[in-house]
Amino acid sequence: MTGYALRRILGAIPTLFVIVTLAFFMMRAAPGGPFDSERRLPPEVERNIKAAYDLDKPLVQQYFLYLGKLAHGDLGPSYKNKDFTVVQLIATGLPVSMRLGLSAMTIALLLGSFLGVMAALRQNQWQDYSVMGVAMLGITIPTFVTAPLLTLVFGIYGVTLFGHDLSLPVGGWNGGALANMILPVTVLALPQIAIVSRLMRGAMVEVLRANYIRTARAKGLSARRIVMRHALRAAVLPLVSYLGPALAAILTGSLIVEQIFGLPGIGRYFIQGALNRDYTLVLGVVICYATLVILLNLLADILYGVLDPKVRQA
Amino acid sequence: MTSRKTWNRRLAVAGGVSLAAGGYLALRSPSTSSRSTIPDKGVLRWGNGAEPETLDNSLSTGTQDDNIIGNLTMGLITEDARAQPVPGVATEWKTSPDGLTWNFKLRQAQWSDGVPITADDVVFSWRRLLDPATAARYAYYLYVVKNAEPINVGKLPPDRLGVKAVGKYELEVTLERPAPYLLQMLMHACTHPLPRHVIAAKGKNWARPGNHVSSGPFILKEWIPNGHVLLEKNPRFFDAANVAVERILFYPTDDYSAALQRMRAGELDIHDRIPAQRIDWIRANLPQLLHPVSVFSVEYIDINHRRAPFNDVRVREAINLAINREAIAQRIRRIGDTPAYSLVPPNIANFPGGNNLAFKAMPLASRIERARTLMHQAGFSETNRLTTTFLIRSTAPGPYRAVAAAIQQMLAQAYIDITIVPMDFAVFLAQSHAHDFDLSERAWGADFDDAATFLELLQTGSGNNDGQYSNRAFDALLASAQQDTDLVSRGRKLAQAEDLALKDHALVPLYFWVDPNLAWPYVKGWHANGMDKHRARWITIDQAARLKQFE
Repeated sequence: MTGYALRRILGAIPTLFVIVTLAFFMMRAAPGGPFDSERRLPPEVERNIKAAYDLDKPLVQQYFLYLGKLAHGDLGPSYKNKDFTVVQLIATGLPVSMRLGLSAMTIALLLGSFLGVMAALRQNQWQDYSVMGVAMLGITIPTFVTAPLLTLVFGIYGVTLFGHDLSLPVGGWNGGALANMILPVTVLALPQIAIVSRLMRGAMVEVLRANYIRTARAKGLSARRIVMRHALRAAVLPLVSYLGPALAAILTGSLIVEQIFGLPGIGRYFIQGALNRDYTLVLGVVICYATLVILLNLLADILYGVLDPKVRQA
Repeated sequence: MTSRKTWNRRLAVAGGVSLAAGGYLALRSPSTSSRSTIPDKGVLRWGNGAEPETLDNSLSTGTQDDNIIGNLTMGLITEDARAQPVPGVATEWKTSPDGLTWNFKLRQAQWSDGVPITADDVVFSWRRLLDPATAARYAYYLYVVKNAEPINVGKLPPDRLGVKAVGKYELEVTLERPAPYLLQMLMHACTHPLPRHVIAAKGKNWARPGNHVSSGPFILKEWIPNGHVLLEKNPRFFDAANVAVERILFYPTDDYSAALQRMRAGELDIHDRIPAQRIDWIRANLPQLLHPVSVFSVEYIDINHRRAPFNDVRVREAINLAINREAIAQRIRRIGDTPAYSLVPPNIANFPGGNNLAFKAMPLASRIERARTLMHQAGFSETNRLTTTFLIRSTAPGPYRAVAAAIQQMLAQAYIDITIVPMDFAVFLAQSHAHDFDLSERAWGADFDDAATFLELLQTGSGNNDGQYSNRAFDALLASAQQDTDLVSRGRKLAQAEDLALKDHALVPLYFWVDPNLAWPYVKGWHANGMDKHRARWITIDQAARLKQFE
């Protein structure tokens, strides 16, 4: 298992290298540059700025300069957030995005699996239909609708339950205070709950029809034991393969959620960086995202082996 | 397995609980919140519209930077509550008769670390701005100072700049050409004196919390990228006794709709921008928040003068005639922009104004009639229509699309069919700067309160003259105005130049911006002004009113 993991990690290095190269040249192929603005710069000023960021050198030389710095863990300065380096920006933003994403995913896994299993056990009955109907809503309603709606209800109208004021802040991070996390985490979790419950239900329905479950029932095992011990373990497999990329996506933040709630995560850097032609920032986020995808996929594969004896033997 | 009955019972209980919870949701006050998280009266919470790019004066450019920097450092001249010039670091000044030499006397003030602010700090700051190694975007701003341009190009060393310390608190500035508007210019953040001693020690990181020292009313306490910037009152500020605000929190509110929610929830006191699509709602529900102000910015269609048939003044006039500016401002934008019939916005300092496109008073129907006649003369007709493209700077649906669609309809009446080409801003700029367009929607704002900053858009060879309009008489008037020390005659020449450009239909002015800020009425001392500059040293919070608003 250790050898396998090591091989995979080593194999990730050329993958990352290809991703960096592609991203570097794709970014540079886009028209415009990081220092363009409505107000055109006098050519001499533009030359000074380009020289300060090595952008006056031939593209290939810039590429190797970038690779050289990258090898030392230096992702360069951000062109737009001029007082910070890309490493600083990611180092302050990533923990925020990860905290939000992990909380949302944990809730989604617990609640989603529970709902999914419940729906599968009551397949084609009203419990199944209501859970799946709500899940479909969760998938189809985008976060840019749920977020303003929730802020309106919990932040502006104000909610009172048994005399307790349940109002929540509609924005700001506030050092990660619980009150500031509830709404964004809920918004992030809702579609994930829906997806997880659907995946879980689908897999569970199939597993419950499998021969070995019938055997277990015939042996007279208790329903709880059959579900928890035998069915769940097999049914969780599709979820595990979904989780790798999904976790990577949710941990690197969401542009919409972070913008609406004014959170200092890294979700906005991807799109804003690309629009601003903030080359170094986009590359930094791409590297971060790619590394997470590779690592989490590896983790998922290892988990697969643990859960599924067939994979382990192969 | 658990019986069906148990499951049903469990579900029923869960459903019942959630229904009961829902039943207890009491929706209160319709437009604002009622939370008790209102801070004390010294705290101002400022929605800044975007994350600052930098707090280094020499490198800063945007409003989001200036809102913060303008509360940290102070120029020789500084802004009052209405952005009018008042003495800042300088207390007195005089000009030589030829307008080329200025002498400033500085007040004996201190940086927030106790070090005196001296004339050498001004000299240092200006040299730093122009030093090619600083790579400052706004370096050209001081090109009016002697030798500035050759220094910025690297032909002269920075110490040859026309600024020197005559004494510890006395400064002499030599200019390339008279600049009667110099006082207006010296409010700009890039000209503020900088703490030489700190920059020498900390280099590029001087503007970070912990390193930064202030000359202004506040000091930089904390900066979490995309989180907030926290300023606290500077006890060493010369006028600290009259500063009421103790702490300012700037939030990077780039989602304006979400920022409006935060205003309503009592989490923000002021917000630098409005969500344009919510304007009708705000007018109906929270009109007291709106502070519409005409800022010195113009929205216009740039015409490519090097491309046929736009080199034909009849076609340009037809385009100008066919646009219904009132409809764009009042029915589409709806935030109160002024329809523009000239290039220089109203109320610019030292400018007589009064120029308008000649047809301003003509009824729309006759204008369309005349536009058609002109197009006929230029060789176009109902059957032989002019087809062209119109670049806009955003691919997102929204105001730009709506305005462009209206323009499409308006021009169609004058036998002109435009295809709207939405572009990403970076692509749009690249293509406009490369003169690769027929028509392109542009905007231009003033760096300082002066008409020449607009007219230079049409100067032959100007880097911002993307449409490449060229008129010798216009250039001559502008050049002559630049040498004029008399503000009145200078203004007259600039106005003549503008009139020439309008007669030439050099571009198509659409509207002058209003830029409504949102501010709760309990924020006292917040005055809408054309430069859209607000310094917290003039602001006080009426705490009783704030508490009452959100009680």
